[in-house]
Amino acid sequence: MKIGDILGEWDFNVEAGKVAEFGRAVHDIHAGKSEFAPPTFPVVVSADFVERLVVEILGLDRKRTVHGEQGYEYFEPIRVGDKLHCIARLAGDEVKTGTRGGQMRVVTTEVDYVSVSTGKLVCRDMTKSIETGVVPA
Amino acid sequence: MKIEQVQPITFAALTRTDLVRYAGASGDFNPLHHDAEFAEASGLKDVMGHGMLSAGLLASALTKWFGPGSVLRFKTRFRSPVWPGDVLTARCLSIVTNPEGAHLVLELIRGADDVVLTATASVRLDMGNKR
Repeated sequence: MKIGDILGEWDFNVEAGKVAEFGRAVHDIHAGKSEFAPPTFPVVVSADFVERLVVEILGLDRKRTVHGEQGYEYFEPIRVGDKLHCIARLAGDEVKTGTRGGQMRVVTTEVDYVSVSTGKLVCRDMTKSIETGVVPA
Repeated sequence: MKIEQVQPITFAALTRTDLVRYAGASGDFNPLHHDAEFAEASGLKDVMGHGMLSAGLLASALTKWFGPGSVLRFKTRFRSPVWPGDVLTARCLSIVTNPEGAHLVLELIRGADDVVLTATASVRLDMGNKR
C-alpha cells in the first residue's frame, strides 16, 4: 500500500431523514429545517468505509487507535438530495515518536465527495488516525 | 465582524442518550461509546463521547452563528475525551474577516477552561438567512 492508492470507492444518497437525524444528534438548531447538511455530515457518508478502513484495510488495533485530526474543505455545501461518488485515498502513513517517547503510526486518509449530477468536487475530507504503542520494526 | 457577535454557546450536560443518538445517526457503533461494561473492561471510567460528536457540536455553533451551508473549511484536533455529565461550551478565540468571509480560531471546552477540541474554520458571511 503506497501514498495515493485508492482505499475505497462508493456512492451515497443524501436523504432528508438522515440529514435531520444527524442534525438533531449534533444539536444543530437547523435540524430538519435546512436543505444543507451539517458540516460534519461526511461522517455518515463514510461510516461504513471507516469501519473497514481501521479494521480490515489498515489492520490497526482498535483499542490503541485514536482519531487525531479531522478536516473538511467545502467547495459546495452538501445538500439534501445530492448523490455523491466517494473516493478514499491513502495520503500518509508514517511512524513517529510521541512526546513521551513511544512510537505511534499516523495514517492520513483523504476522501473526495464528488457530485454525480455535476461531476464537481463538493467536499474533501482529511482524517488522521493514530495507533499508539507501535513496536518499532 | 466582531468577536462579540459570536457569543459562546453552552450545550446541555452530555447524556448517555446523546451518545446513543449520535451512534445511531452517525453509524459509529464502536462499543466504547455505548456499552459501559465494554468501556470499563477497556480501562475507561465510563462510556466515552465520540470525538466526532464533540466536533459536531462545535460545527453546530458555526452554523448557528453563520447559517447552514456557510462553512468552507473546518479542521479540528482532538485534545481530550468527553464523558456523560460534561457541560461543553463552544467559543471563538479570534475572528478575522477576509474576501471570502471570515477565518476563525475556535475551541470546545469542558467547564470553565478544560480544552476538549481545538479548531480552525473559514466561513461565508452571506448564508445567515438561507435555509
